[in-house]
Amino acid sequence: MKSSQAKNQQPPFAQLNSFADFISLLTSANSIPHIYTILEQHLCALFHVDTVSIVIYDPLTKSFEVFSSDEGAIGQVMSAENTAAFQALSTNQILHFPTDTTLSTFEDRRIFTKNTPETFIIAPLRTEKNLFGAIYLASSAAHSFDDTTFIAQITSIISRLIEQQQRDQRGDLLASIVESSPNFVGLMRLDGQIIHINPAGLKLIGIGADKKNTITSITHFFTQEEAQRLLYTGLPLALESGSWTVESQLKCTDGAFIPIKKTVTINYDYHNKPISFNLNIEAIAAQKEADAKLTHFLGRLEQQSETLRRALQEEELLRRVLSVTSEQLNFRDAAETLCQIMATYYNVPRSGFVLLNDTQTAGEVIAEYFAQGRPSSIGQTIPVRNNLSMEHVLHTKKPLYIKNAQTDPLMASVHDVMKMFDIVSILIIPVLIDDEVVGTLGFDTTEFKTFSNRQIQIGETVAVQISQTLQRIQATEDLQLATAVVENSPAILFRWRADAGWPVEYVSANIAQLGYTPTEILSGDVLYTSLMYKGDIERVAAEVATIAASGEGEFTQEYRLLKKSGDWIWVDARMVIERNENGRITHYQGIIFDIDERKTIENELKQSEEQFRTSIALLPTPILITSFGDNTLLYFNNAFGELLDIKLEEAFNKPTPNFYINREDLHFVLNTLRTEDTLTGIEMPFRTLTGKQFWAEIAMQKISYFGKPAVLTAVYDVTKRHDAEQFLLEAKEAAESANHLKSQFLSNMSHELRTPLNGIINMAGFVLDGLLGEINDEQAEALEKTVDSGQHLLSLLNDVLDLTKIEAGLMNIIFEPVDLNQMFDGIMSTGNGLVKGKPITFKTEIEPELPSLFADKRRVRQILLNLMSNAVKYTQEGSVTLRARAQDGGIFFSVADTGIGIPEEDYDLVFQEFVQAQNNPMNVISTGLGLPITKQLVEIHNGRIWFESEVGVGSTFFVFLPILSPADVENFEQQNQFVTR
Amino acid sequence: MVLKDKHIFLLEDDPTNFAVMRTLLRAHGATAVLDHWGDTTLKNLKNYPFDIDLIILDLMLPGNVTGYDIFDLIQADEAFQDIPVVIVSAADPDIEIPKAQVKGINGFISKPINRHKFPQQLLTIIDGGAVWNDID
Repeated sequence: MKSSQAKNQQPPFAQLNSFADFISLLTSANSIPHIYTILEQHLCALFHVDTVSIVIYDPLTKSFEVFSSDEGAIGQVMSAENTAAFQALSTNQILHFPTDTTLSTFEDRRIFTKNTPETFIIAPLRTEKNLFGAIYLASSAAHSFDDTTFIAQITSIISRLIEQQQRDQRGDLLASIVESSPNFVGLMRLDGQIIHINPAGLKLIGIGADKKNTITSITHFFTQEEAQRLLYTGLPLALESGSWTVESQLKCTDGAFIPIKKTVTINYDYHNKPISFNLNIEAIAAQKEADAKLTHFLGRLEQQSETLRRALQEEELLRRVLSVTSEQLNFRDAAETLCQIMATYYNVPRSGFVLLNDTQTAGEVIAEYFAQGRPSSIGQTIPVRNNLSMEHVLHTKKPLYIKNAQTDPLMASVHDVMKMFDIVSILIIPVLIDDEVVGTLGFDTTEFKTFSNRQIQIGETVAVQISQTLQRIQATEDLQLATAVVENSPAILFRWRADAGWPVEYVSANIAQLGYTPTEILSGDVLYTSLMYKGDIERVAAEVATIAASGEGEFTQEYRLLKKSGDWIWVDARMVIERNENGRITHYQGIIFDIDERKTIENELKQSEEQFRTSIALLPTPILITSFGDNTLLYFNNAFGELLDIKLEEAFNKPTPNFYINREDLHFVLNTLRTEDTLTGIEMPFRTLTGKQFWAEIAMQKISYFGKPAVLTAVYDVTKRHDAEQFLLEAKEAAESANHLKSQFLSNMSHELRTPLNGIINMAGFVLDGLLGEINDEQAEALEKTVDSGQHLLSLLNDVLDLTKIEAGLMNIIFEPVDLNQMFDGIMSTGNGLVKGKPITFKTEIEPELPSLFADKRRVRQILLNLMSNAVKYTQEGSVTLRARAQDGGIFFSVADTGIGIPEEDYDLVFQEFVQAQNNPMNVISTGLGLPITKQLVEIHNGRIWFESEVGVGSTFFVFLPILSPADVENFEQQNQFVTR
Repeated sequence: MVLKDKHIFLLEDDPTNFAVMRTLLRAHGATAVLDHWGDTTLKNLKNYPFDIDLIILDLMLPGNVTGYDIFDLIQADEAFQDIPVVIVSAADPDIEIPKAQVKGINGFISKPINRHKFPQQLLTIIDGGAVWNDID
């Protein structure tokens, strides 16, 4: 901000001797910027303010240039619009912004780039005629500008000084223009006495600049008669109309006369009194001008007649085109006529119209004109792809002219065709709709032909006509379709005037549904409200009033309407309000549907809903009905009231109390109901109105309750069941935890017992194998016994561990498809190893292509191996036979031996644990656990095991394993505790 | 010599078993890299100058550490992720095999091992197969 305090080098006004000094300083200024600079320097002191800002108005651009203010704003140009300065300037009033007001709503705030001052006034700088600008006197502290009269006086003086300066400047400018003008320019008094003649003028008369003072009157270069005509005819006319021009002659000093054109204009003083006139003389060479004019005229005449002829031809053409395009209802017919008209106009033998498909991939020739002897292409499809000329037109959307279609690269793909038909030049004009090419108008010639720009333009004009025709015909078809749709629609269209009784202005023909003809409704004799049911009118009117007041534009109503037959029907009216520019309602538009059937159903429903409520009232199940959406409590039965300590008369039609203890439960329920119609079997803690807590199982169903969407909730107190379940759950968790400990213990035990055996069996084995050096036979025998003992201990251990696992429910059974054919190969090779030199042959009788089992592979293998190992143990010589066949939905396995057999008294002991036959003639080493384990494994697979035996002949063990499905497995796994997974 | 030139890393804490395994692996041509579980185990594994073909883990290790824990540590290091791992343990196979399968371990061989089958079992795993005791 430029403040006087900040500019110490400038003498403050206080140091000027008087106000007169300030004025004389201003009057001494030799330019307008000088005046502003003086103001900028002295006004602060004069008005005791700290900021002076000056803006200068430019009437041409209607903007202000900032002359002085903050450094940041100087030179800035701001639009006068919405500035306080312009307001002051245009009203010629000093605007006063006291303490509590700021510039904030005006654009001029921007000229104070640092901070907007607290208090200021804006004084205009203007005279009656001229607007110069405005001065801002601003103070950052509160300041009273009480003497605005004084300020007004000062700004008035300043404004006049500026105007004077401006006039002086303008005078200077004019003078320089006059002096440099090539024409005679002179300034004369009203009596004809010469004040000034410019150098060009002196030269024209033939007077040297040095002798210009000798020329004192206009009679020096005009004849007496000419001078008098100017003063007594010319001047009054110029005073009247501003200027007077006439052609005459100028008298030169050498006596010659030259033809001139002279113009007189008047100068006025400040009081608008004419004081002098300007004389502007232009020498004219008359003959030359006349000649030129004549030549020009003749040329133009010729040109015009050609243009006229062509214009007439074109007009005729366009008239014909217009008549075809506006009258034809069939586009193909219109296009064909146009092809002919245009071919004639262009004087070409062939033309055609191609209509493109929607995707612009191909076009169809739908109209054609051709000279005799040439084939018709109508109906032919023209692909766009690789058709360079077509692609070009689609791309540029401009006419395409090809001089030689037989050589032009754009026609490369059809050069042969062009040659075949002798086609030489081609013109293609696109037809556009919404700036997209929809078709093309094509012209072929059989000899070279050029088309003028004008001709092509005419073609384009016709193309526009075609486009409009196409759109018009399409629109007509659409309208016909739309009308047909309306006629067959159950929706009756209406337009009513917003007037007493809703006079109908339009009704669709399908009003016939109600037995009326449109004419009788539109005649004005029938008011719409007279068709409405009396009992509905008041409600409908009130609804309309409410909607209208809310400013909404659309609404829906239901009311009863009188049919011609005298019956009443319910209708659904979907209404749109029409307003005029003042917002007043002028019309209503609407669609009326007959909803009588729906209404009847609704009424029946209402009755049935009432019955429904009566029927649930006494049900022992607590039931609650709430409205869907706003959750208002609509109804609950006695049982519900008792369970939740709530009274219907207190809760009815109020927001439903929150019975949910957990907010998440409430949210879950609300969210579910948003997408689902029902919600069942959900258990959650509830709280009654008196604070009692219980476990509730709720079932919810969305219903329609008296026509409104609602939710029915049944609540069961399941606290006892929940507690019991909780108890069971805890028990189960405890059991699982115990199971985990058991399995960990068992695994550890297995580890502890078997680890030493790894050392015993393998170390001995290494020595036996000679890994650690050669040994003798005795040593080998000893080591073999060690290894065998180790193996025996291991198998005993394995059996014990297996049995323990089965009994502890820790046996992991993994059900998977088992390919038996593959398994038998492995079993037989292992089985052969069991024989250990005894004269026993292994035989198999296995049905080919056995179906797969769904079982635990390891356990099935273990079952069969156990049986085979047993058979070998109790057989001295002979055979062991493994049989398998599919039967009765399962697989029958059997292992038959020719061993010692089992005496009948031992039958009961066979599958008992830790029991070995008393009668053990072969001293078989056995744990007695093999068969009990086998039996358990078979039962795990839902199978059966049994045997037949004869002492001295042999035994046969049978196993039946059913073929299970995964679903079966799941079923019986749940029933059998011993299976854990 | 089915394991000739195979570099097998063996983690085993029981001295007897350690000796059994070493004897057997060496007898079949493998270079056995033997280690007990400790702070330096992974470092040793990492610093081993050749590509390791197989890692054999015991399950029950001192200090409540299990072979599964070691497996997790090994898997966490990208450098070891592609090396097959087999558990050789005297723990109960019924209980442990499902755990090992879930973890993505390539096999479980029960102790006592079968000294005639063991080398071939290891080779199966080295070649990308799986061995769950002597089934399959």
